[in-house]
Amino acid sequence: MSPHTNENACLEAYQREFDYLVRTLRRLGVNPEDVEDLAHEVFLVLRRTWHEYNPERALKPYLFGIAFRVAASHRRKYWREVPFATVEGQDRAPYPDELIAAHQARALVLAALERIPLKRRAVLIMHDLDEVPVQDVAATLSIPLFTAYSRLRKARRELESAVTSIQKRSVVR
Amino acid sequence: MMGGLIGNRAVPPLSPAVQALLACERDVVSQPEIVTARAMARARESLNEQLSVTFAPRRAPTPMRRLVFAAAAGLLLTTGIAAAYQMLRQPHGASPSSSSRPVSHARPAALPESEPPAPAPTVVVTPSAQPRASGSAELQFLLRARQADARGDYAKVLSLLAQHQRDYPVGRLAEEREVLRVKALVGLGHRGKARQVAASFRRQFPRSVLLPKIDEMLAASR
Repeated sequence: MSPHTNENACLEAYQREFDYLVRTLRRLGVNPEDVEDLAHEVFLVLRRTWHEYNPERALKPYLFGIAFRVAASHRRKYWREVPFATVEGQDRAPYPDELIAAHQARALVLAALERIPLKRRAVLIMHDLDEVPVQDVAATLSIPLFTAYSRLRKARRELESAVTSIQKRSVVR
Repeated sequence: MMGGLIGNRAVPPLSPAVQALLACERDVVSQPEIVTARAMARARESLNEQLSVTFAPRRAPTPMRRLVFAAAAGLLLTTGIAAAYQMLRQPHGASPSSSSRPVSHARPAALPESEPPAPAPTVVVTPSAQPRASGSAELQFLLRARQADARGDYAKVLSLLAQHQRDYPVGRLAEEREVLRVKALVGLGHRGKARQVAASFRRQFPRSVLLPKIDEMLAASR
């Protein structure tokens, strides 16, 4: 395949999955103002590794793998620069009574996801939101299958507890 | 739902309430058109840059080169350790003349003429990759056109776009410019001309993400 064909295919794939990529980065805890820059970083990695992608397999899990690594790297840098980011992040979580209908639910999910450590959150997003089988989740994130199950189990517990906690806060208010 | 897939691994399923929340989050909402267009323009730009920047071919490391590299690194390390040791052994009051000099951040006044300048890196950049700074100027131009469009001043939009085309004949935002042109023409009621521009756009950018938007604008003008 010529380099130009590759580039076009990569660009088309990026365009097709752009909405998914942006949402995935948000789910992985990237701030709205950084999302476009990070999406571009994902594109650059996608372009560089396009030859490794097998077109017979679904693109989303592959893209997720890149997005996860880019987001994790960004997070490490962000935390170094803003040491109290986690504390502020907790206060920024929206209260359920400020949220409305489907938009409310989405904001609530994002806020709850924020409370799950990134490695476990990635497994939960891939499996419970993107509906990727756990075997593929493990392969994409380069972790043993047992670890994937273990992270999923903990992440689900944390998600349940985070949702309950956010809802309780709204009752207290 | 998900519990069934992995039930044999004893991962408890999510509660129905949380599952309902996740179902809402599962539908991915489309990004605003301008965000997608901006991202695609940026992606295309990076592809162009990648094509026009030619790096000197990198030689594969041979065992001999590795050995030379290791020896150089070892030498540097030894020199560094020796220098640090010397500094630690110096009594505080009797520092050598070189270290007692005030630290100056100014550049040295003049280098000996015999010292050759450092070799330039072997990166060859073609003219198309150079004007990176002009990208923001180009964007500013389109932003002004977009503001005029928001005010409904379509004549001003067309005038700004014509100027943009003159200043940036191979600009990175040509795609966005043409969409704005179609919009302005439709706004002024020049449907025939708008269709012509749209047809030309379709030929020039057959895979553009903005094609549906153009079709939508033309359909709305009927």
